[in-house]
Amino acid sequence: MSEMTTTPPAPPEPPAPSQSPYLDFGKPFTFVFEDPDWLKKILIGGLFYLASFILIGLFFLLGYCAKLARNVAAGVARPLPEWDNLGDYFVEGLKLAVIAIIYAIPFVLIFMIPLIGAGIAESVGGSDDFAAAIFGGFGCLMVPVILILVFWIPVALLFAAVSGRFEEGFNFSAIFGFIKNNFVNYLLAILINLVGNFISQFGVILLCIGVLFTAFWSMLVSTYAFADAYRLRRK
Amino acid sequence: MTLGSRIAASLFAAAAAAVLAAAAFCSYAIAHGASARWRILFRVLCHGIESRCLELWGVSMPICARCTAIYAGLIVGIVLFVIVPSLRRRLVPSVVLALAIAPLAIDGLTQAFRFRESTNSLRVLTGMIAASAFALWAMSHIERGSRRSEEGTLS
Repeated sequence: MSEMTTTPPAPPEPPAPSQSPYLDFGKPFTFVFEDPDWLKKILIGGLFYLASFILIGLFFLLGYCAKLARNVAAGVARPLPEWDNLGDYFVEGLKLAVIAIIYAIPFVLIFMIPLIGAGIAESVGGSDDFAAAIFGGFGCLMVPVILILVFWIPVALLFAAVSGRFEEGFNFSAIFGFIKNNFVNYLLAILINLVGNFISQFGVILLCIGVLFTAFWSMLVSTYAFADAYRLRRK
Repeated sequence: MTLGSRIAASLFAAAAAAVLAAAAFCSYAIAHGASARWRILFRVLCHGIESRCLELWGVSMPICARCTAIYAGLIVGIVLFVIVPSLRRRLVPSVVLALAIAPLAIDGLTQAFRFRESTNSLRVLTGMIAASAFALWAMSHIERGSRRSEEGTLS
């Protein structure tokens, strides 16, 4: 009796990424499940999400998302990376975290002004109303500033991740040009990010611990959406 | 054991230990006069229904017995992976993981759909088994991936 040596046929390749100029709203939510090893990758990612509670895990997650962003931007059919090169993920994630921190520093300093002002007002015997007015005034100023940050930082991280160069995170003209020329797709990506975050909260239904894995999935959804907007960019 | 596995094992164990330590500290603080509202901080991780939680210093922990056992089980699985060399040599099959998670899923889901009410000892037992097996399974996959990438770097 001859021994069977045939291997099972490989699963069919998923369709090539869309060439439409607009972001596919459904694809970021489903691309994970097209990967034959998606369950393994999500389960391991959930553990790293747990490790992000002690901060260090966050660097691995950022590094993993950077690799995913590069794959999506390059149009790879199955872009979900393996959890194999942990050292590289950590180093890249650390660089991306530094970019985000550098962007946050001026805004943290601005936020310190009302704190110091209110402290001085109180120490020289000023009324609580005056301190509250300082806080309120700066609070109103901070809203647009935070909105700008929410718009800007994902693109800065995306540019640094896709190019693999730290300095690209501070290429202000390129980042501004990307947002201006691809505003519709970028807004769609932000909307996908919000929807993904909302859905991920239902992971708590999966015996509480499920939220770790759905939260990681929502990170992948957001990364795919932003990276796909980059792939479809108009220069 | 590869460097990647060592990093992952330390990270996962430290994170699980941090959650358990925070929950224990919250119980200690409440038992010594702090407001029970501190339990709300743990709502992002767990429902924290008091009748389903283990007691520490005479007060309910802020995370349920199942979650407590899951975090403890992760530590047990990781420690087993580190100290038993034979566990590192081959991949833990996914079917073993599925079998280990099945009791937890049955216990949790039959309770969620209100067919029955579980007990804390059952929550702890099923949570420990599932989480230990999960940690072993995940670590064995990380070990294989890291070994491949290390061999790729060397060759």
